[in-house]
Amino acid sequence: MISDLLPPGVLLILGGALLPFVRGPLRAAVLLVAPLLTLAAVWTVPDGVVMTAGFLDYTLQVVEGDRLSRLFGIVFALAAFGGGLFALRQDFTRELAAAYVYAGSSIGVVFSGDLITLFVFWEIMAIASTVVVWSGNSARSARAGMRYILVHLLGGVLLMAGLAAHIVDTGSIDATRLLPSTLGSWLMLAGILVNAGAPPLWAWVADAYPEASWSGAVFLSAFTTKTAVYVLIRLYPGTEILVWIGLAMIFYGVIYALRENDMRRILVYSIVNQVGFMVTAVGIGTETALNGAAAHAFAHILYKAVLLMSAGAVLYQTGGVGKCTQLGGLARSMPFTTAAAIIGALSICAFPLTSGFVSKSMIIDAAGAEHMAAAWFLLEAASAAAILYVGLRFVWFVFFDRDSGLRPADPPLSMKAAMGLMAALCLILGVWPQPLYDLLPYPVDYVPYTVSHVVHQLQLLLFAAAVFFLTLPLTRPREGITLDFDWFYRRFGLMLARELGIATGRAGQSLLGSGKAVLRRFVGFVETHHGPGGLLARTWGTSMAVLSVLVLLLVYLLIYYV
Amino acid sequence: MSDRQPPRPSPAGAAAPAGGDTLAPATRRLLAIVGAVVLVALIVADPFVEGHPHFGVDGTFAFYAWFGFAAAVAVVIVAKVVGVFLQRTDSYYDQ
Repeated sequence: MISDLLPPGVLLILGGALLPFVRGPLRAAVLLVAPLLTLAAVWTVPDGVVMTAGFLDYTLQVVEGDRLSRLFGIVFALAAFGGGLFALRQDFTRELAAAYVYAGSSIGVVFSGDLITLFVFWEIMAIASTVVVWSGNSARSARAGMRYILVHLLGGVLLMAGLAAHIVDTGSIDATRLLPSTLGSWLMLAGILVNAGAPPLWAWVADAYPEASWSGAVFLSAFTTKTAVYVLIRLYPGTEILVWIGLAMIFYGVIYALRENDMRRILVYSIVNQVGFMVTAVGIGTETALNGAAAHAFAHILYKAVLLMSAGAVLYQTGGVGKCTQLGGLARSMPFTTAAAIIGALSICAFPLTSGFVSKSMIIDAAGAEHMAAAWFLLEAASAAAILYVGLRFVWFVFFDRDSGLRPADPPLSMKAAMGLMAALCLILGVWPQPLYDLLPYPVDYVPYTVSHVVHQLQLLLFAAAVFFLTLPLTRPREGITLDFDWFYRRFGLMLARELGIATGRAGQSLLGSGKAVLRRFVGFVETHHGPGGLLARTWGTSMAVLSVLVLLLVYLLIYYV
Repeated sequence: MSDRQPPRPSPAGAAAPAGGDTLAPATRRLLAIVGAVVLVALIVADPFVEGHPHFGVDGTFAFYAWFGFAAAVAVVIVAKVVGVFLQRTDSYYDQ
């Protein structure tokens, strides 16, 4: 078995490292074969610790398999394959090499049996994904990538600090369930949540991903946030605060996506929204909820890939037009892309017969079964709202609505094949969820297709859809951006730095000024007395000297006799 | 975007009714009618569907229909209100 020789993630990392050295058909072969080999390796990882290594005094469990890690490994390998196929025409090899290192290290994270190995792969992900953002090759992507890595380095520092404290506390490096009760485990939770796109630092997702290239964004959408979900399921199941963090992410995503004009930014806000469902499920923490989180991550990666591929195809074929206000009517000339986008959009809305329906409803049902009323009503409301912001907003304003006059054709075959493959998987899992349910960490006792469930879901979605068309003039995309938390480090920080700079500058000036004044007075004093013509520097006459000595002797005599 | 993108295809000029609706008026009307019929059918079907309410109110008549409608309206309104405070021009961060 491959997994005996090499961790499955490292296989993909090596594939990425090979990419810069091969060209033409060989490059295409590496792009397609490396993820497939990885998929085979992931599939065959047995339960338990497979590979260990010594590091300092610790025994690292470099590869440890179980149902949860295999599930995430499989979908990550699938996402890498789909992304690689879609990116065959991306001639900027640095992006693809970085993307494969990024994907491989996320697979490394999910098979890490200990926290140190996990941390190492976690940081490789941060660096490789930054290179993918930078491969957008524009001034904007350069700046966005820099902000992206700063946020992730902060997350990494929190994770590392927590990890160190945790190891000192417990002496254990096992990646098993933790209770957020010590400082160490809280810091680790904070570091993981940064990657999940949790408040308050959530703005990095929508700041960075849409600045990547047409193919880079497809890779970026899959790995970072879902790896964080995996680690949360592994380490922090049933941590109640995650319910509320997840709900905050859900509504943040909906509201910002509803205001957004850039089509890929709409899709990226919906990543935060959907990951919010998973984080909430981890917080609920029952077996059904954790199954739901894992299943939803699987389904989400597939339909999000379809959606970002369709947006990437539009970008590629129009030469970079990404604003909804400049698009519209593309269904006429891009029927294939439109169909793929519709399938992806229906999946993200959890429409019956799509993958989202069979996964998201597990999460909502888990909240209901636990009688968590607030969570249940908010989750249902957010599901209804989902159709507004991607289901309709993205598809309607890019492919339908007012005709922009643009007539881009459908993209080349390789891109169509990738979109078709991912869209087909969305539909297959929607109609026949059993293969997905068989992969889930806990036994599944859940039947998605009951008459009441289908009818209720259709009521929820279609009445929300009616609102979309009734409020069309209100929600039509407009130029402009909506301020987010990144304002604090893009604007407020700058203002603060300038203000402090001016204030400290003034303080420095006055300190320097008074110092100079003291010095000047001293110099003046010395000059008065010792300078040319100063009292102590004058030449005195001999008679004056004799007189002085006489006076001194007189004083001496007087003192002696007294 | 990278500068190695294929050139932007020129808009197909005269043949493209830019600014017009993508769907023909007849199609739009048909879709609106089909949509309305489906919505009514979903309401009519509601009493015949036996749900598994968790909280009581979710078992009332056409709960999912009005709840979905209300949730969507609420989200649209909140998004509008957020915009009043946080909307800026595209070039805000470039200044």
